[in-house]
Amino acid sequence: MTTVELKKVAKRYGQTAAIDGVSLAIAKGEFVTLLGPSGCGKTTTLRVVAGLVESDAGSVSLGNIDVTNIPTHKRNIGMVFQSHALFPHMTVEENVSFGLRMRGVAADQRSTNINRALELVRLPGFNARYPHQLSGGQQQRVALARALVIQPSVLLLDEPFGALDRKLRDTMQVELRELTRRIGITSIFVTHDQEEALILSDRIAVMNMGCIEQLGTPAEVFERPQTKFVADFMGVANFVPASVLGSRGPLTALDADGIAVESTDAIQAATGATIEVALRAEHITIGEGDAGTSSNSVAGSVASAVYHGNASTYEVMVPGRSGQRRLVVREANRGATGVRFATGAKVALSWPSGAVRLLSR
Amino acid sequence: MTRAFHVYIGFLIVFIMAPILIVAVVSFSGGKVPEFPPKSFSFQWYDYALNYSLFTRSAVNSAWLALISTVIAAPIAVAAALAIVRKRFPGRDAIQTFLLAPLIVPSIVIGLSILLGFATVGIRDIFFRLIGAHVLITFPYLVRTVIASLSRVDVTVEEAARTLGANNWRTFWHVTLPLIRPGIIAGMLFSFIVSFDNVSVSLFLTSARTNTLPLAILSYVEFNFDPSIAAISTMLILFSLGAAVILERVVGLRKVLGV
Repeated sequence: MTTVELKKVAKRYGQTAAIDGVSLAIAKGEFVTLLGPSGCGKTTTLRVVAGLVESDAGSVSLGNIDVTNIPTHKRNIGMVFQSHALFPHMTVEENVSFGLRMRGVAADQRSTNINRALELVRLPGFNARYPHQLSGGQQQRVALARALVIQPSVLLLDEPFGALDRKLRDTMQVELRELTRRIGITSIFVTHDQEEALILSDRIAVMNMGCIEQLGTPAEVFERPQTKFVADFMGVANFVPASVLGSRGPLTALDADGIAVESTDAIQAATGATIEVALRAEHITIGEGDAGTSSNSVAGSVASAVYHGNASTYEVMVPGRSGQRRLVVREANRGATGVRFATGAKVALSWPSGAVRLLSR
Repeated sequence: MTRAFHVYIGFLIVFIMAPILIVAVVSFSGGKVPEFPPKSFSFQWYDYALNYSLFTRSAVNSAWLALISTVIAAPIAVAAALAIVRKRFPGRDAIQTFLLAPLIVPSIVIGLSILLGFATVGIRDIFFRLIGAHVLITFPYLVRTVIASLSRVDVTVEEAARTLGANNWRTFWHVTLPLIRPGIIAGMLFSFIVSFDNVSVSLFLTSARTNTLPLAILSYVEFNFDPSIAAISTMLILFSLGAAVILERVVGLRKVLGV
């Protein structure tokens, strides 16, 4: 259990920068997720911490020790891979025992530790099985036990649940969350699944093109994305360019392509500047009839209506200054049968000023 | 499948197997000259072949030669395969092709060039020359089978070993080597057979006193024409068949051949 600190870490492959100056400080016992699309540098960053990839620049510290030039096998890390990477020619016990053997732990001490680790991942009594005799979830638990039994200073997880089906993934997420909190181990988790990141993490680092775009608690990253990329990745569906009109009391007034918008976000740009307005589909209220003349409302016609079971999604065409603009609206189904509005229906959209996020372009 | 196709396959099998079967049948001949079908049957030519010192001495030579060449070539081949499969360096593909070159270059040429090479350096010991040559000709078979099995080992398994505290050597010893062992064993069996069977390279390097079995057979038929050759051939066929069965048991022939 220790701190992890990355300072301006960079790694290039030929012409492309896999990671481009990543700095990140992780506290003792903290669970941090590196989140981003494939190719954003999240896995490379994790592999630099593990020492499996040599960085071109920057430094990595575990505790207060600079490990930048220390090889992987001397770093005392536990790592879990997407492909679980169990040794196929060894039993569960031999797999879990491997790290202890490499450390020269005596045999009797080993078996105590192995059994404790297998209990921790809820696989007691599986000692004599081979990896191919286990299910995907069980294999991943063995991999977790193997990584934890050596009492690593940091636990690294590279999309460990990527190969599991959805239901099993949900169970494993809850178990991992509970387990890492209980033993208080510092963890770095890599995923491209925003929901998984939100469930597991103390903090999330959203990565894009080799850089950390935003670092914050799950609520901060989800509710207050700072860039269009983060907002988009966190599932925000509507972006409209807008020019700042000025402050109106506690609110900021904007002209979003002809639609009058007010936001509780403090002004980040000068009057007249062009910024981006972001609005979640589920924050828009859809109703019959005409919109009023007040801010944060607009009339339009339904272009498509899709029923999802627990919600319905509408694409609504609204008149903008630069032509028709499409807004995505998601409404929870509360006892309605099917979609409430058919294609072509005239509807009015409105949203609270608190739901409008202002992003600099 | 159509009937015609079955007939075609049957014809092919007969075409391939017929000479071998004829040799086997002739080897049990009771007469003095090879004839098919034999008029009488006996084990006399097996008895003769196993007691004829030209055959037994050269068979022992061939066995030692095959064994020593294989044992020398195997670790070199494993090291080469590790570098080719796991490392990225300029000219990697070229080196891989180069290592397989003895498969492509006519073996007569290899035999001649080794003879000239050893003569230039001044190495006269015949057994030493033979081992050098046979390491060279068995090496490509070993490299090929080891590369095939190493390519199937998941790199992350080795990385996992490193994160657990194993250095390069212990990762190789505890993880990589056990996983490629079937490939190495298969390659060594192959290599043994290739060396044991070789004529064209050995032809340049042997003497009247130090001979290999295939060359002994060759020189024997120049002056004698009896079924003892068929008896030896049948024993060689059984030996190769046994090796093929072991290969199939250990790894599966298809995997070994990389098809």
